[in-house]
Amino acid sequence: MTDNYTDEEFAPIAAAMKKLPQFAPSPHFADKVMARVRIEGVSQVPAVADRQALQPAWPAPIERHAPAQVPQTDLRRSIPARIAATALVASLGITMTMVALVAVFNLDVLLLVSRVFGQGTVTFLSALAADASATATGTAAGAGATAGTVTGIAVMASFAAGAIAATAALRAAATASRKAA
Amino acid sequence: MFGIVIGWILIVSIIGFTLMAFGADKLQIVIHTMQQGVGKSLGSGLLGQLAILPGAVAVVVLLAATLIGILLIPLGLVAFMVAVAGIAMFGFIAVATMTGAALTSSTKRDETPSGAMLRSFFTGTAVFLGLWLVTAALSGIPLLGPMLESFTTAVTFIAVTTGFGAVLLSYWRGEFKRTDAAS
Repeated sequence: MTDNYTDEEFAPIAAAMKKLPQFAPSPHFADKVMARVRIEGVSQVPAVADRQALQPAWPAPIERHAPAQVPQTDLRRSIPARIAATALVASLGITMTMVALVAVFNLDVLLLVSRVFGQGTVTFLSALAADASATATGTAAGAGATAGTVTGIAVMASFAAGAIAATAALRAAATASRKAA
Repeated sequence: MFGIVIGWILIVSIIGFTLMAFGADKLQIVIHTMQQGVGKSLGSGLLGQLAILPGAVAVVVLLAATLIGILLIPLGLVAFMVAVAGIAMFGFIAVATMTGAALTSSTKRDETPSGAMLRSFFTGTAVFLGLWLVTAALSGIPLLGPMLESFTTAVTFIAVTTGFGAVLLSYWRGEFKRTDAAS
């Protein structure tokens, strides 16, 4: 490049070239260039127009096309979804089986459970149910005892106020933190 | 009551710092989910809490399908409850961090995002557990004590439920997987 110029002469030219805006070729630039390229020896190859001339005169038969490919829904599900579905089907199946056994054969469920899983299981389940019942009854009784009093009303009102205030505060916090981010 | 509150502060702090050290991106996802809609997260949290008992029943039923599974029922139930408690704790930490970020948004004293997140978490946790400290301090007063306790319980319940729902929502939308794929 600098064969015809000295370094001093070429320096302003290089500076001016650097100031030129950079252009990118259009998307089909390379195709357009290659379309004009003529290569010796391949001229006998029929061009697209010649190929059309070689086509038969009769109308082309109607082609049968396969239906357009519709994107298929991916029926695979995640492992938790499979577990949940299996649990749902299993619990439904066990419930229906139990209902059928009790209804048809008039079985005693506790007796069946004790025979299958042992007497200890029935005792454990009975104790668990009794504990849960006692806790629920005690909580309900406690709530009922204070429900009519001033303290009970004040406590319930405080709970409602706290829930509303917390929801409003969280909404405000979400908006503020989103703006800050 | 003070002892319980101090214990919770320690537990939340330890789990929160651990989460920020090893799963800050996940925490950010949950916070982002809440920022998109607190109502959705709260609704999802309420639905999720309603599904806890059926979920435990499902675990028992699934394990009862096999003989070895019957022996593992207590272990399975414990694992299920630990998982639920973990999700709730994760959600609460996200709520605390988001609250702290809102409160400290005006101060730009942190050099790194991790520092800002740590400050936000500390501030938010101080707010929520500070409420419990005030409640513990005033619990002896006849009418005010139960009222404050009820108020603070409601605030904590909403915070935990919203965070719980945000974690479930993020998981349901597959946002955790997207982060894994990106990294």
